[in-house]
Amino acid sequence: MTTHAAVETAVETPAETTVTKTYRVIGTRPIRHDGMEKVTGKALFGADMRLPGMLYGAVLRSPHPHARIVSIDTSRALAHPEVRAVITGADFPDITRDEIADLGEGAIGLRYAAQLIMARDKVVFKGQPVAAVAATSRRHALEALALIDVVYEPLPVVEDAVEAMSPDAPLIHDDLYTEVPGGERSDKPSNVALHVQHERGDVARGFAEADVIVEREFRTQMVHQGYIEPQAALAVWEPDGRATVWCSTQGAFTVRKQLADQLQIPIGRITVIPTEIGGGFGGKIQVYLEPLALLLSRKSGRPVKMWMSRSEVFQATGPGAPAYIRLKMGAKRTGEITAAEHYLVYDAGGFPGSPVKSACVVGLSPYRIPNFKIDGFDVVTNKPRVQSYRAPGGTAAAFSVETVVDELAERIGMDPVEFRLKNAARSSDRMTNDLSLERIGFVEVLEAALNHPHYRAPLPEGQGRVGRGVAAGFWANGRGTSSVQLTFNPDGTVNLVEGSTDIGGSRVALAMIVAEELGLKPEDVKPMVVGTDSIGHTDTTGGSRVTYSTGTACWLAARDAIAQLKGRAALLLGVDADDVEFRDGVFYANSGEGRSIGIRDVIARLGETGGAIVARGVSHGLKLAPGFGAHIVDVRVDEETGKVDVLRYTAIQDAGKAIHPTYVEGQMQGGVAQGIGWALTEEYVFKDGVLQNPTLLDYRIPTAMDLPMIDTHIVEVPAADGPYGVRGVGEVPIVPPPAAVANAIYRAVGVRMQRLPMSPERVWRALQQAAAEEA
Amino acid sequence: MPRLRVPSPMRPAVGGRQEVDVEGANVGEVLRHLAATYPQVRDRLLTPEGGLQPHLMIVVDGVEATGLFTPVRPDSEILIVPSIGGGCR
Amino acid sequence: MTSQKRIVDTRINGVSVSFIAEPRETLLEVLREKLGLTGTKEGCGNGNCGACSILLDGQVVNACLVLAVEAEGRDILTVEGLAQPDVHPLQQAFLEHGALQCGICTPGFLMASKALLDENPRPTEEEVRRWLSGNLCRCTGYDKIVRAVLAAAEGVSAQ
Repeated sequence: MTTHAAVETAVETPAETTVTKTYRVIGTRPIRHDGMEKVTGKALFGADMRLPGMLYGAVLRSPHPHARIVSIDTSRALAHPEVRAVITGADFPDITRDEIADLGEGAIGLRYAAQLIMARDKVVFKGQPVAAVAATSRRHALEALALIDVVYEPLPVVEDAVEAMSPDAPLIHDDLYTEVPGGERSDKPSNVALHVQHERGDVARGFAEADVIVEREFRTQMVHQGYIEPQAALAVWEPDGRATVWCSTQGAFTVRKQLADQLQIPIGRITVIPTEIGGGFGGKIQVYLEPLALLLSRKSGRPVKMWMSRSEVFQATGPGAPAYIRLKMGAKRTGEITAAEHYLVYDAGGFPGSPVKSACVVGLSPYRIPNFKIDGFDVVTNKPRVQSYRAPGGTAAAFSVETVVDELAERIGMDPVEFRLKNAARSSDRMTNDLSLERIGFVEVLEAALNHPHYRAPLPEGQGRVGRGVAAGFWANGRGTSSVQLTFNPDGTVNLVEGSTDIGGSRVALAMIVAEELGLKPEDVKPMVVGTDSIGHTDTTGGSRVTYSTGTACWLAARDAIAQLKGRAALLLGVDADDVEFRDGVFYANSGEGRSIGIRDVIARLGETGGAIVARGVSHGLKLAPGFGAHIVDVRVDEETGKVDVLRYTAIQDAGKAIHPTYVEGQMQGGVAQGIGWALTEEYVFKDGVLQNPTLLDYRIPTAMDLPMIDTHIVEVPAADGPYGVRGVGEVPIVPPPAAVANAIYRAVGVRMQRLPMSPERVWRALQQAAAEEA
Repeated sequence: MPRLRVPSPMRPAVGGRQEVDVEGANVGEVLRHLAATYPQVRDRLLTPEGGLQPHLMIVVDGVEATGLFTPVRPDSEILIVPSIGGGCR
Repeated sequence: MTSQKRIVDTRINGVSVSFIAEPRETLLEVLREKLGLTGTKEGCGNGNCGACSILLDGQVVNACLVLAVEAEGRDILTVEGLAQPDVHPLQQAFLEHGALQCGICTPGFLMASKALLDENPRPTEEEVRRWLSGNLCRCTGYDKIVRAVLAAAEGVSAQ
């Protein structure tokens, strides 16, 4: 089990640490180390950076959803007195390799990534970059865009993914073929980039065994992560070919790699320094501005700062993928699910790479289903190229599964949570792709839901029809590799150097792990997030992996520190190193006279005992530590308007071990809020491939008035790996809400919603239709 | 012998089997052995240059293999699965 | 295109400040790009997110909707001026309650909340939510923000 290699000595591996004991620091709620600078406005986010002589960049974007670029004339822009550089696709190297850029769920072929960053001969979504300028002020840069003359030849627009699958549909990429992982590639180009398949058992036999079968069709919308901070970057190209980029990103190392790949510069010459980041949710892994800013800096010989307007964020970054899903599921009268057929079409936007592969795993894996057939399709359309959005693919897949499960339970006459308990996956069960779930806590989460006061409480009173719904959620959670370094200060405090950009308060949890292991107070460990020159490779912040993976690296680094400090303590105690034991922040000399010395003293006296030490830890080879959640929601439906109000919400989730409960609660509440927006109000509205609502006025994310207090209940079932049994928590909470709300609406007014968002108009129409059918 | 579980689209190429025995001390050797034993598998598994197809990943004993040199033990379970990320890498 | 630049005299965070602005520049642009006060954030540029909330003569406004020249002779309070120099009860409450995750919306919420408590020292939860509905947060779901403001109200009132 656990971490292979890395540690040569027989060091107690993280998962063997007892998980039932009470901890001194773990589970407490210290104030975060970066808190003061954030509440005083001192923290520097991407657009806050400045350098002397800095220019400002702006991007010219395609007005057409699908067009050939006939010609680009930049001469008038170059003649603008305040413009210092202009770039187009011609300034970028040709990408000939067919490699897939490793962005995890957002994996994209390098050639397509190149076009996403700057169009070459055609554009495939409105908003795709066509040129960029750098000028002495942002206003002048924006003015100069109007001086760039681009001639387009518009092409037929393909807006809907299901229509795009038809053999008659206009082809968006003539070099795109349907890949079948494990199977044979198609021989004709297509808008279908991928067909994923998973099969187990015999679905025909499984459905024959079922007493009840439910078959439903669903459509979910394109949504945006909605991070309040638009993308921003500041780039400097030095005359000797070194490059430095400050940017708001979820991963400095992936930015560096993408820059090296796209601009074809040696990766060692690039330094990426992450600024504070104002939200990401998966949308700030793919680079957009960084390569542009860097090339503009090279051409102008000056630093170049760029940031996106909100309208650009909506039109030209990576929203969450829309989906068309069909689900057929059968169960016995006694409650066992016998078979499921899941057909998922995910819309990738202009280039392939929707999270359909994940969706094919996340949808059905929470349940023990002996016979299933899953077909997932990744399809391109003339819309913005999607990116990961918090549990990518999961929310739409769960919308289908959790509402069908609800309906099956009802048809059988079983409580919906009991039905889930009957079929719940257990530890060591396999996901739909055959990977083991390892140790999980789904059963515990469902039992907690069943026993939660909200579940039994009387429905809230008042006007309108009220209903209660439940839904479960699952995310496999990421692992990957992280590097951590510890250095030591003469006052006995410790510096924690790590590379996981902090979107939600992770640095305090990481400091707490080091503090716990070293017997220090959290405020005595100073965490800092550094760039690519200053720490070993660290995978991206995302996939709910930081507390788990970087936390493991912190635990290993602390162990390494103890091992090294032991030797120094031995010197100070006048005994052999083997004779020294470390417990609760104190080094004890076993052999005698009760001699001991505190760790802070040992640290303070490093100079006397041989000089500085540096401790390190690197995590890799961690087992899967999946997360499960169950949500309970009460809604009120206004039958006259179709408006749905969320009256009460409880989110239950297995966190493995809540290192800092406040921030675990925060992740749960934030995911719920996004899920409610996804359920009720958020939607990209397109007309012929043109986004109609690229503003925060018309793309309606929840405000403080739209939500009640969001109650949370943390369950702790230790993961198979990692310190204290900790699991990632960030993504699970966005998975259940649309299904939970839909199930609640059903119980309130008797209609099953199959489209998202469940806007007032849609709910009202569903009510009208139901009334008409009854008449 | 290490056991290898085959994803459903690949099963026709290995005689319909869901699981096959393989040989090799690391992932690269296992894949080459598989491709040699079942020639139809080769194009579904490997690129013309001999690397793993980009939409697949190899999982050894529950952990994603980082490369072709990832060790494989005699009692290892190896999975070939569509690669997934999770909003990160 | 030329425009008449103006000298604007104002007070920012209790200090007299003069700056030069074009009539078309917003107060947000000037604060951030000219005066180095980057604590006030741009989230949308058109008054829909509240990330640029500041106090103008004690009233909460979106700095992106105020022209810089409108600041002439007026009193501006930004997040940088909230701690004077002691940490403001709102700032302390936000820290204690975990009312921030990424922190980008926090300056806007702090300024809007200060304006609320200045006008209504003992708001109800509903009043807090209504007042803050012009400030968008994508990370927290507002729960801990509302709790922090209510807690600060008790602290502030206790003074």
